[in-house]
Amino acid sequence: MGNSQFSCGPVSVTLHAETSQLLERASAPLSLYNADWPEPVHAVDISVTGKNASLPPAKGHFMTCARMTVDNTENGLYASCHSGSTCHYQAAGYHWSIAIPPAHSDAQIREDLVDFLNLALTESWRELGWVPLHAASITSDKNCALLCATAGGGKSTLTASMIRRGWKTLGDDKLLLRTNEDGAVDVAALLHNFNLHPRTRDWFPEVGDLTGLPPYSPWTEKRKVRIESIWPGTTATRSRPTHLIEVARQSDTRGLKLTPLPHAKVLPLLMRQTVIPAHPAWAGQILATLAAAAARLQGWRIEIGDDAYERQDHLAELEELLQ
Amino acid sequence: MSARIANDAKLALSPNVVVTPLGEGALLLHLDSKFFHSINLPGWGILQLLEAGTTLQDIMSKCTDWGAREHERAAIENYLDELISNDLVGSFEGKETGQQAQFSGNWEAPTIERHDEPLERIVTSAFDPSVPLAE
Repeated sequence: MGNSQFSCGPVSVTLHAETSQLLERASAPLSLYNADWPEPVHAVDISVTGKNASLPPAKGHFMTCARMTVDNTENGLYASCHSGSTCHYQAAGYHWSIAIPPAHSDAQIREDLVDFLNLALTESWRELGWVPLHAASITSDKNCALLCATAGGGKSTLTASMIRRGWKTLGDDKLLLRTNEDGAVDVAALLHNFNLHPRTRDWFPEVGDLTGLPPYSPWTEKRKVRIESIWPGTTATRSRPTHLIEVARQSDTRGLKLTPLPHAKVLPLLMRQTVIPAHPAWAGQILATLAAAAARLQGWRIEIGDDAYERQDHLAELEELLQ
Repeated sequence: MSARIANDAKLALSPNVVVTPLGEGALLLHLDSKFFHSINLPGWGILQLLEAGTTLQDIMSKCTDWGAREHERAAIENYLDELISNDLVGSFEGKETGQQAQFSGNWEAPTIERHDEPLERIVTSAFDPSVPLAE
């Protein structure tokens, strides 16, 4: 049995694994959370064993993902992957028990662990009042914009382009959002990595040749790189969001096209950036946090043309709007 | 009189629906269908009555206090019909608690608008709410 310790935002994970292979595979996704967390952390235990669980699959009453279903139980949660791996959460002791069948291939082990660990972390963050947000963020002294897009929609490239104009970032993919006691809403960084496509170098030469790095998943050509290794001093850990921007690539647009987002569309856009479990207490807390944020955010939609990053003046209008 | 709701029928917000105030109204999310709905201020006032369980009779009485006139009864019943047909409100067997509803402003007909696109029922992962890519 091997142990390791990880800081994942406000959660401190103690990982116990039965074999060195399981320890290594479970450590990889947990070690990505490299943004500093200034406050005390909440301790969570995760144990990973290699055994057949021989339990029926979860029905997905709490959550249904592409490869995993999750149900509520009397004591916490029960999750299963389509491959046969299972995961139990005992809420009273903040303990997660993951069982991976020994016959699993290395790829199946990795995929199942990523799904279960994502569940363990998001659930733990929610228990602390934080709402996980699948978005990028750029921030200056006075303003902070949350950037939302579908996969491949251009969050990372727009974030990188604004960093080059002096902005800082809280990340391009995973953030946490929380309402404070005074009603204000804060956004916090989890990862200071970027997922960049190798052709980003065409616009931003300082990125260098990324083709030597492994793609970070079988489903994308993007590579994971540390932001500070390319743009030192450009990461931030906390901010107070002021703008919500829906980012969309449009090949028939020249440069950037900015249009205001009606206020009624701000909360729905935020809702589409987080997973809302079918659990009334959790869903109510998430919705209340998002509504508090939406009340304070100016919404904009940005259409990004193929030539948007060829000239710096294309970004001036966006910068003026945000300032 | 609504064809579907008796005057003394007990009604309450469905247990699989969550509500949050938004602007002058509120937003409702149905946790099974993942559809969400916006309601205006009078609609939010009525919904607060339904959160604790109430009857059509009590709703009509409260709406009259808030400024509704007799000819607006049909609009209130239409609103309730819409809530019921979307499984946002259902029959209720317990004892209504007489919860106080907050309403301040000019009365107008209660409205509900269902947003066209529901949230995804199957998501990529516990963190990523997007529709899963084909593998």
